[in-house]
Amino acid sequence: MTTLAASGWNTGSLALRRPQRHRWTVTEPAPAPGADDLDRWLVESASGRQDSFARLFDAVAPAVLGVARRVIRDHAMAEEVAQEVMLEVWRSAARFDPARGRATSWILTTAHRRAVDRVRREESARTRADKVGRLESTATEDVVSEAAIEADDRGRVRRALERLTDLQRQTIELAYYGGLTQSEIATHLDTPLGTIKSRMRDGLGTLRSAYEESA
Amino acid sequence: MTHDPMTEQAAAYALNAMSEQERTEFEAHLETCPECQHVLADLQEGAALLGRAEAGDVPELFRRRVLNAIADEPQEPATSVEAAAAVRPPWRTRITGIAAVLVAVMATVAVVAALTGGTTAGDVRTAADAVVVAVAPTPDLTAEVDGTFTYSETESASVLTLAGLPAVGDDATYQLWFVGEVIEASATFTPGDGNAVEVVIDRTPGDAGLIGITVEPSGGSLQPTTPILITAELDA
Repeated sequence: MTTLAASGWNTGSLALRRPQRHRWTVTEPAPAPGADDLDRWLVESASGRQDSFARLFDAVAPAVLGVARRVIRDHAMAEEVAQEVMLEVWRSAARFDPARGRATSWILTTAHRRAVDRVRREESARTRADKVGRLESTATEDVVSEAAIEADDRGRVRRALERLTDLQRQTIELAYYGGLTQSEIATHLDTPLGTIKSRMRDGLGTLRSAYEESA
Repeated sequence: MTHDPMTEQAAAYALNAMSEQERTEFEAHLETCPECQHVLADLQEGAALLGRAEAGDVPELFRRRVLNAIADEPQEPATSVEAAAAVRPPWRTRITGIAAVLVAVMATVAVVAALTGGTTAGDVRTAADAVVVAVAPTPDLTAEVDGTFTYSETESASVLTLAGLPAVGDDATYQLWFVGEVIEASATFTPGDGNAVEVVIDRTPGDAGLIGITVEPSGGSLQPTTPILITAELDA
């Protein structure tokens, strides 16, 4: 115990104790948090606001865990990676720069990168490419406990995905779900690297505009 | 490398479809290229949609594990605080043992913004449950400062009034702290005409046993970096 009185604080016998743990309160997430809310919560998290982080968690954890499960497939390993990602978000929240993109993009890019790093260590490019073709999304329709708003958003994204050409979709799926590098995709599809790059760029552009048009 | 091939790379970066070496090269370029940053931000929004399409259930145990873990997880300091520390303002030389003790003991620091939220100083002072305590300088301050700290639970607000407050430099500010089980940062303020100041804070001390006032770099700090100069005990 350290008392402050002896050290210049005119405070009598107040002693500093161990900080109390779990001071944060869990609040119900707002029904439909917007991108601005998520940006703000991440900025607030950087100053130690655990309540803001809890809100941010509720908004992004479904997708963070979903990405990890889709890419890694092993659910225990996916949870492990997703937990590391959320802790990384908390630790490095001060590095988030709202001028350089949205909190959602920042967090999901990190989640995807960590998941991809993990499968690249565990599996060959060929195994990963084969699995993309064989397995459908793990985020199946039988998930009933989600808020309706999330399901709506998911449906909207999936409809936007249908607007891609088959070649664009195939390339993006190999990259995003399979964790293949652009060079691995070029080899796997026996297609020039420049073509792969264009498909990725055009595909992401189409995806985004199709999503925004459906608002 | 010329520029165009680099913007071409942005989609592969957004999809994490780069080898380690490509990633490192692109990130080095990105730091110096606003156009690539802009292009990348758009592409990453597209890639984030792929992630959102995968949104699924979050087990309650997972949620609790993560939210419990962050309570003990240290954070990287905010860049503004790093920047403030890097310039080493003169007051940092006055850090004494007590400041070091404070920093070592604090594991949790909450930042509380000072907002009037419509409540005025008069509202707090005239509240039926208003509590007034005297504020006095510590031995670390030679100036004759006096004032009061008033708070009201019904108004959920506090008012700090000080007179005789020495001026601080343009790059410094006074900052109020609530000291209890944790030390919580609160309002920053600088004295106005006549070296007096009145600050309305949108909270009450809660569990805090005392308030303290320090001098901090402009913009305030997450934790006190200098000795407490002015203080008041709240629960006798």
